[in-house]
Amino acid sequence: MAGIGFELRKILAKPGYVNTLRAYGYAALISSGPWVLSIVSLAVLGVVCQRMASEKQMEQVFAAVTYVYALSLILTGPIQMVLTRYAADQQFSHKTGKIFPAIVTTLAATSSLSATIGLILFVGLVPGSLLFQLSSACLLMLVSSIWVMTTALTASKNYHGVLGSFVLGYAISFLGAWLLTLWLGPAATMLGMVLGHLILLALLLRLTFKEVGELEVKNLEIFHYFKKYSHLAFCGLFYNLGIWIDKILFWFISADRKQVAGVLYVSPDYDQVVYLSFLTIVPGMAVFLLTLETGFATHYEQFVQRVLGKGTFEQITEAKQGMVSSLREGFAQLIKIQGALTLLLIIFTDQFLSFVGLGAVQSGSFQTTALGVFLLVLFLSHLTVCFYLGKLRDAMLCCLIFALVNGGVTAWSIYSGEQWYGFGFLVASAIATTIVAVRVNRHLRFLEYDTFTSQSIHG
Amino acid sequence: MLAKPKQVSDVCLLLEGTYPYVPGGVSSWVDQIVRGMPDLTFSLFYLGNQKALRGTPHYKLPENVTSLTEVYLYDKLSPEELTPGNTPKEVSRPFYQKLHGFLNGETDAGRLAKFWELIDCLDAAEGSYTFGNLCKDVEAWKLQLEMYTRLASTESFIDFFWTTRFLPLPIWHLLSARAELPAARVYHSVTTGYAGMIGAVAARKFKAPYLITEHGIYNNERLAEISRAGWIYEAENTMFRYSEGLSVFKRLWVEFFFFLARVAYGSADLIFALYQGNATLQIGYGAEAQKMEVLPNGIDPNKFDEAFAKRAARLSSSSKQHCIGFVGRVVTIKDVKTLIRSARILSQKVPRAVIQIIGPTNEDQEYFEECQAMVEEFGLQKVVVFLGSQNVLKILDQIDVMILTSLSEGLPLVILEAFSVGIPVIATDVGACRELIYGRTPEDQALGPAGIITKVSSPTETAAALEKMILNPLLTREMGLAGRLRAERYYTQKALLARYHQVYTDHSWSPMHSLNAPR
Repeated sequence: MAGIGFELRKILAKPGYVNTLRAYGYAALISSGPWVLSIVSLAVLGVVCQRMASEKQMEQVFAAVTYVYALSLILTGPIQMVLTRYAADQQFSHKTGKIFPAIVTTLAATSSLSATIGLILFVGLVPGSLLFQLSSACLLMLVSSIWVMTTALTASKNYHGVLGSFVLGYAISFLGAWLLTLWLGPAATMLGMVLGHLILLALLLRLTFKEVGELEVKNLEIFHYFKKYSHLAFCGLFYNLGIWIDKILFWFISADRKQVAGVLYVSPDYDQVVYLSFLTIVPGMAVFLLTLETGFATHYEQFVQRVLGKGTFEQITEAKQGMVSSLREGFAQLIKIQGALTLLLIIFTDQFLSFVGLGAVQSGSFQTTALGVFLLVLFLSHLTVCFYLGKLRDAMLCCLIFALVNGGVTAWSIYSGEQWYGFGFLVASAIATTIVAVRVNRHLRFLEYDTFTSQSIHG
Repeated sequence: MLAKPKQVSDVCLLLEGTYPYVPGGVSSWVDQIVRGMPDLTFSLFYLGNQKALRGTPHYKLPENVTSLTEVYLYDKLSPEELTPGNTPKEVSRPFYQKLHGFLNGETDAGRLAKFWELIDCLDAAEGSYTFGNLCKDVEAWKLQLEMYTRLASTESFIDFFWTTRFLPLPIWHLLSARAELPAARVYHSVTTGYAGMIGAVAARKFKAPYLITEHGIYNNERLAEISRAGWIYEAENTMFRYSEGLSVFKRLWVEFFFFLARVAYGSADLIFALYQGNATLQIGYGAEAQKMEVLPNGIDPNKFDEAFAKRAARLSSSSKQHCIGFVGRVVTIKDVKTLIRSARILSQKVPRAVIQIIGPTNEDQEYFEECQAMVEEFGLQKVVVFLGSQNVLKILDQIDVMILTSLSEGLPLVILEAFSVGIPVIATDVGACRELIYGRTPEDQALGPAGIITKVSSPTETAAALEKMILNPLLTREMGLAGRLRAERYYTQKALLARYHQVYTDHSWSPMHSLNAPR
């Protein structure tokens, strides 16, 4: 009987080590990164290709790129989450050699899936030149792969390399789009994008390979992780679906929608406003990331240290209090900064909209969605804490609620009139934030209980 | 419940880590009892550590053993048992109230009362309360915290947590086996500890008389084991205080075992001690004096007549005596290391002396390996020989002097066996060794010493005694004869069996006798 109890220490140490959790933080944050990137690149694309093609032709490129981003994010949401978890676990158990093969395997699966979807969508359902159709499908495959690679690179220490790759990749995309449009006409704009993204993907792959130095390319273990961490996968799916569902509904059921080509629709009034609002996510996420890194993670590490390092209960609780107060500070900071920004935007909506070239008609929905983004930042931050605390099921349910409410209320708002536009997103963010905050609060209150009683006596 | 009276055995023996799986003194004793009473039926309730470690039975069960139930205290619980059950509030609330009362009990009597109430609560829960509840219920967590604050608030919480989670695990296994307790007319635990506790539970369940026979003092053995245990956490700066020399966690374990003994003693109607010294200790641990009876182990000396004759013949043809026998398991409690140290001293004075270590070496492999390493280090490969398990009856005639260096003993059967063959015994001053070797009553003492008593853990004294014996064949022979005489007169199996047979069949000693017990 000797020693049974004390073997378990190892198990307690196994599942939730801080670095594993830290990766979660990045994963959640990263889901806002591509977003910002997508919108910015769309805007730049607009500027680059201005006046080179007819508005109609440009619109088609725009709509296609938007679809590519939406689809790729929804598609890779689950993959990103699970791959992050897998990589972090392997890192924790010092089996880093398994990561690169897992990435390659995942990439292969992702690209075949997204290529299939791309072909069906762009070749099958969107009329246009074959060059445009194929390069659109190709772009979907590349962008999806890039999101997967981005996830894999969160653990990378080579920030400069990653940033450089993105800068170079996007520069080539826009330059290519511009040159090819000049040379071959608007049908080739897409091809330029494809070229740039291809180079970006290659650069990212090379970067990862350099860091890992593995030649193995097959690791099917990763697929078991989708089953093992199905909550996580669904979390990624629901979250991204939740982010896009209001736009998708506007494309397909709103009266203001416009058919661009085949199944490509746009809903310019809503789209422009909501993309703009979304850009305001940046300061809030930056603040929260800083809080996580400097305060919360450190205190969480201390908490774990004290649990495992034979601390008294008082010391353990004290460390938890540190976590709680650092979170409080972080949220206060976030509310202050994001709140101030949102407030300013709401007060000066008209000036701001006319500055970026949008009409005053859209000011109502801009205000609504800006407030929604403010709440979304809070939601995303709490979600990250949920990941830290290992409450994946809760996180998944909150994301599901977010998606359902956004879908439901948006559909209602579309039928109820323009003054309600954006309410789906606002209400969904508000409800999801409230629920996730209540859950996080509760989990923090019961943190000691959870930490200890969740361990099985037999390991 | 007992519709088929055929299934009711005369005696249920509750055996912890002994017969029929683990060889040793207690096992031989059980074998003696069961074989010695072919007219009675026995059901056996065996408690082991883990099923995987069980091994093969060391004894073939005689025909009068009607059943063997096995419970493993440290086996993994099934997923069902680890999943919290849906305990009705009207069951769980009083359960936790009582558990609170039990954990905070000021007196042993108070805690004992709560213990039985808790058992009744578990009966009422009818399986809806699982070990998972104990692990996951917030009420249980709160009790754990409360206990921590009261007992160990400055200690490592994680160690406290696992200690208090592991303490109830064997109890849980045992209580889960309540349904499998065999129906019997009398329950007899051969130790206190877990077997004592479940014996008390069984006797209460079947309203049958309950008795305990303790060979070694279980509490003492656990106390020794726990104070040495490296796996129980102690803060490095723990100050050694004589009043409470043990760390909080070790104290928890010790008090836990002490409480189990209280349960057994409290329920027992009759408690047998092997000798007066043990009886005194048992009383110290909470046994009531009026329940105590001293009944030494016994042996059938005639079984050894042949060996006795063979040995006598061997000695008359050669006066060279140099074969020293150690019969026992190679484990810490037998202190083989002191024997090896004394062998080093002895071999310098009497180079021809050989010490044969006869007994299983696989019970504590690590200790055995340490012993072997010592032998090699001292260059005693020719002096100290490990023979492993042997048929003692067949090799006793080869032995000139028997040695026992145990840290703790009850009334070692091996001494009686040695006596029966006429072998003098050198033994440490533990258990009944002194009265065995020097005699208990004045007339017993008049038979003369049957060997030499030495201090515990004293290689020099042990070596001196060995030297004295080997160099004085005449003295050795005299002592051997005194031993044979003593065994024949005071330690016969016949007397032992007669008393137990009486206790097993006539229950007038038990207050349960008047109750409506199954007969």
